[in-house]
Amino acid sequence: MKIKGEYTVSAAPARVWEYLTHPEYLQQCIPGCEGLKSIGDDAYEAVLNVGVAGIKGVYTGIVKMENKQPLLAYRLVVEGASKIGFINGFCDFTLKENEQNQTGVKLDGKLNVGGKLARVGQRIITGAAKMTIGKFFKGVEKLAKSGAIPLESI
Amino acid sequence: MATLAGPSRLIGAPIKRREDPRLIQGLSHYVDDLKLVNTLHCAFLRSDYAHAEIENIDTEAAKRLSGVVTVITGEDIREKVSSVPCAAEIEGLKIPNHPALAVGRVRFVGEPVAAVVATDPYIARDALDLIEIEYRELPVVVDMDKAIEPDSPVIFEEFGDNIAFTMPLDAGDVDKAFAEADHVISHRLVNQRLIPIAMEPRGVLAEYLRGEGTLTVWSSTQIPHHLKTFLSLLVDFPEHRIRVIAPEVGGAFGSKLNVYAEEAVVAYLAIQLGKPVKWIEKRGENFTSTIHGRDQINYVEIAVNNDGTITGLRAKLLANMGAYYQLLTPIIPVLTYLMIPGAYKIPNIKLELIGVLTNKMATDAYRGAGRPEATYIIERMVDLAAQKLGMDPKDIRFKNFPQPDEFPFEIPTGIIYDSGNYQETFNKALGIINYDDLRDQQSARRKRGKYVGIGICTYAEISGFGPSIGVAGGGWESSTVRIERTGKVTVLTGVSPHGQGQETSFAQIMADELGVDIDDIAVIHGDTGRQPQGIGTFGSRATPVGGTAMLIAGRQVKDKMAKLTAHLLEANPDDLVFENGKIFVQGSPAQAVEFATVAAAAHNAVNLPPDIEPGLEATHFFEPEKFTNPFGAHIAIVEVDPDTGEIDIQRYVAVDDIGHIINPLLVTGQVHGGIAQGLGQALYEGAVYDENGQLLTGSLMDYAVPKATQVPSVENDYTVTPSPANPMGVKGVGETGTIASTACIVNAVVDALSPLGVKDIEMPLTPNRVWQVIEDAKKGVSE
Amino acid sequence: MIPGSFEYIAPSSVDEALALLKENGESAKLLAGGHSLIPTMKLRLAEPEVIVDLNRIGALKGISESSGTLIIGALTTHYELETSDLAHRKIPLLAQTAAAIGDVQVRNKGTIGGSLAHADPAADWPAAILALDAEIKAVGQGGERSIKASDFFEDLYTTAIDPEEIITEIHVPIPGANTKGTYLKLPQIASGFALAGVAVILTQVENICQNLAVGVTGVSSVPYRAAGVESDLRGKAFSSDNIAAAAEKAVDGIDDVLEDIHASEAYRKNLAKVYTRRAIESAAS
Repeated sequence: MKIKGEYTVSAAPARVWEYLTHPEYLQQCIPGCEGLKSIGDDAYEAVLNVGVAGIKGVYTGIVKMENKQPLLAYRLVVEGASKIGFINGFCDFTLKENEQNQTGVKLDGKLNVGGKLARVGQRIITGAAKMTIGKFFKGVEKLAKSGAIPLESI
Repeated sequence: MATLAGPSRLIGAPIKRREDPRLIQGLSHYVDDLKLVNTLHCAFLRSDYAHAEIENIDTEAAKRLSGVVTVITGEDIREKVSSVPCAAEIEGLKIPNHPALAVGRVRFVGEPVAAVVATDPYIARDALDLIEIEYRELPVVVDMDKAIEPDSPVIFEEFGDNIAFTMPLDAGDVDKAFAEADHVISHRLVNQRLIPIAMEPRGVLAEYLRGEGTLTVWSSTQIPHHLKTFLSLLVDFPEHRIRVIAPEVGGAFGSKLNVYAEEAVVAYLAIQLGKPVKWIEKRGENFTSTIHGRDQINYVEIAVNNDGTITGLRAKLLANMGAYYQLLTPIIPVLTYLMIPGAYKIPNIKLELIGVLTNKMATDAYRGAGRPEATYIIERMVDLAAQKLGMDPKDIRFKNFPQPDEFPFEIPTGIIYDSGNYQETFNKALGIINYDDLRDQQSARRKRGKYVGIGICTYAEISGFGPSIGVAGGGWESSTVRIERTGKVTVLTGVSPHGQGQETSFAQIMADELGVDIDDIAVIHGDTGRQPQGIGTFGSRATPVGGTAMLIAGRQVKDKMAKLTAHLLEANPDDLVFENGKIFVQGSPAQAVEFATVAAAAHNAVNLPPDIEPGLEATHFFEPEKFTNPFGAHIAIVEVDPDTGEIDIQRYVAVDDIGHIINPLLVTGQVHGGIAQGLGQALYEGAVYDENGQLLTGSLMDYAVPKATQVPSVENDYTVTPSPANPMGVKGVGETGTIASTACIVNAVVDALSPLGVKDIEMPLTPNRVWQVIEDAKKGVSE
Repeated sequence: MIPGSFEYIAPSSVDEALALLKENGESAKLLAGGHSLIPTMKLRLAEPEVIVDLNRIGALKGISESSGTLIIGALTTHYELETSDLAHRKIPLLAQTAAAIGDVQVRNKGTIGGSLAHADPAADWPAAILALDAEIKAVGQGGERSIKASDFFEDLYTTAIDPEEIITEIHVPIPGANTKGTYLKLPQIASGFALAGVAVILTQVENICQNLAVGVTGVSSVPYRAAGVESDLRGKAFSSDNIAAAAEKAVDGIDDVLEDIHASEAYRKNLAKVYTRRAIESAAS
């Protein structure tokens, strides 16, 4: 499944970059993320409790950040498995400031779904993925609106 | 050639199926209805990955679950259960080892990896979730065009590539035909992968009796006798102590013409554990792990002259084997290869059939098995040729049919069509649908903006499998006919009906032969403990081969009975008439002796003529000399909704020639069912795997089989060209509908859209796809 | 197709059911007709620990009329609505929508409340419920509340109902004079769910559109009212051209059109327009 999309976040790229890359913020924004534990090199062990329509799965896996170009772009890689199937994929985020000092974030990625989830969930997978990404950016926007600042500067 | 002799009372009569009352009332016994004391229940853990190394399997937690008896993996049984069998014999065929449970590597989604046995099916299922497997993913290949490239991931490293076999044919002078032809038409045609979806999934129950040393296996199978033989090899158990029973079988369509890993594992477990073990396939498993059908990509060219004469055919046929072979996997596309000229005289043919291994479930026989694919190829190509020449698709067909006096007719692939009159059948169909007016109506409706199409399929197929030289494991069939002491008749047949209705049609044949009431005849099948030998039901063979075996056995027993009756009546056996449960000298019905009286005399054995042994029983093995070749003409009228791509089938006429007809009700039912499945391929069905080898259509929510409301009313008719291959002159009817209807529907839809310049649409013709084709065509037109 | 183990409780009153929800929190699931929940459980896509079966609560069943409103108990089956004399006389669109759902077996067991609570984006009821401006009554620990259809569907399989609330009734205002409705859908052939389903309610005086409501399901992750179509046609004559022009707006403002192996985004958009046009034409004729 291809992932494409564009979201606008009400904050400048310097802040949005933090929201999108700092594990503490990431954990707040990734829907159902119950923990990110660093295993070094921008890689984290993750527990994700996600789903729709009562089809909830606890996915354990890895979240990684690659190809980081600070304030501009990076790739988020996710791998997770649960009793009902597995997901793995990546998403390239590209940040661009607009005229209102907001940040446009472009998404371009790919998600693979396997196992039972793929076999019987075709009607909902795409919608569920879109919804999850939507929720992610709602979380990012919430941070922006709350004026959360880069954690390093606290 | 002679057909059935004597006055016929039941043959040809539309008798209702004797099987149906029990089926409708839920009184049948399928495998899951059989209850043995202390039965253990088996469940299989299957791979979620299409291609991966198994790095570790941890079954400890599953084994600790209360109620779990054992958990086994591929490593546990690799020395105990041998490779899942493939009976194909093809020159140069690479045959991979096919472990019953994966060893070291998995190669398709749904491959069994471990088996759990527990005291109830719920615990067995719970235990599956406790098995931990670590996989290391490997590159996946599902697309045949990619799988044959040199840089493709390889399914079996020992083979070096994914090419299972290559089968060439070069008949006539193809290059000359193409060089001299007025036109050459080239096309890529895809026969998409289908999932058979029998109403009853598979199921196995095995019981090993340690004291008796016997293994009894109940399996939802089409081939109990073959299964018995293969099980003895698979689990190294003496064949003469194995009994296989196919109880009520809820449909199969070829998917149970097989020997599966689960049958071997369940039998193995029953022997090891000393208790009955049962496994019932879940619908989800049926999707991933019971054989699939079709899945061919065909690159086809035909050479055609301005007058419509087809002079040559060239094709490269890619056939998807899947990751492993099941019983007949590589053979199925060979039937496509053999039948590719269909109903036409095409003197020059050059073929290359390539079997391709991919990370998918194995393909194998699915109703029609290779012939629907062949028919689709040739019938689409003939229509493309007609379109190119501006010829009526009716005329190009007549132009290329063999003449009735040319039968038996040999086609360049070596098949000899037994009998035929394609012109008569086609003319009958054209007459029923009023074809000439139809084309005028079509023009008129097109002028009103309607997208109306007429689709034709004139097919020839191959049925009645044997002879033995053409069928792996033998093409004969056996039957025993026994007159019981009370005059009731027991027919034992080696065929294994699972919905076809031979308990009715065979009883009709025997009732006529012996002159007894149909209710006095029981047709028993599907039990290797009762039928001494047999092959099974597939390839539209039950009546032409199994029915003939029964008829001949019945005649033998009748001859004996006549001798005995002649002795009792002091008459000449040749003068005796068997009628209404009585036997009498021709012209003297008043001096009849009861059929039951003679039966009793044969068993009481106190007044037998000197050359007659007690008892009334005969067994016959019938080996047919040749295949049979049903044929026919199907015509459909469709209208396409250009706004939505929806297809409305407005009429469907099927005229089939299957030789003599035993029971027109059953025959028409078979044709209807076949058409429904063929139409399913044309319009609805398609097993979709993604590039990672994940099956995306793994449930009935996403894989559409036609429902009753989605199948049009079919107008059936028949012509009768008896087959010379058997004394009843029957050809077999199980697959004709499936073979004909797919191409017929697609031809109709393409015809409907031809004013837009549409030449082809890939199946299934879903509304979305048809709409997209219309949109693209409109854009093409406006550009 | 064997579910995980679960506790089964069948309360006989709504209060009892609410207490069970409170007690068990997220581990409990309500069972109505079971046509979504049970397959999900059998596939072990969900393994709820407690099943609270509502089917013994008589108060949740039945169809009645009260001061210009049809009151439909949440446990009323699709079949009961399909064959209800009251529904046929007062709001035929309800019966027509019910008849379009799934197959006979689904209609015999499935319930309107269960379907709404599940909020499948391709279910049939949402289109009609939106077009009819129905209200959904729900009861929870804090008492009863009423939710407008337009506020009910929040996201994919997500409604305004809290996990500890139970839908009790659906209140559907009975349309006035000169008002007609239609529901048309193209089912996905395997599942019977709508690739696009359009419910239309329109009021017509001398061929002029006095009022129009268009509910669309199957097209977006959330069923919606096609406001652009409604405002475009209001006050205009029901001519083919006007209807066609208005129907072109059937997906205006909808940015999350569904896409799956059965239908592309472009196709669903097209279907929304075509079925909107046809539904209006059919109701207006």
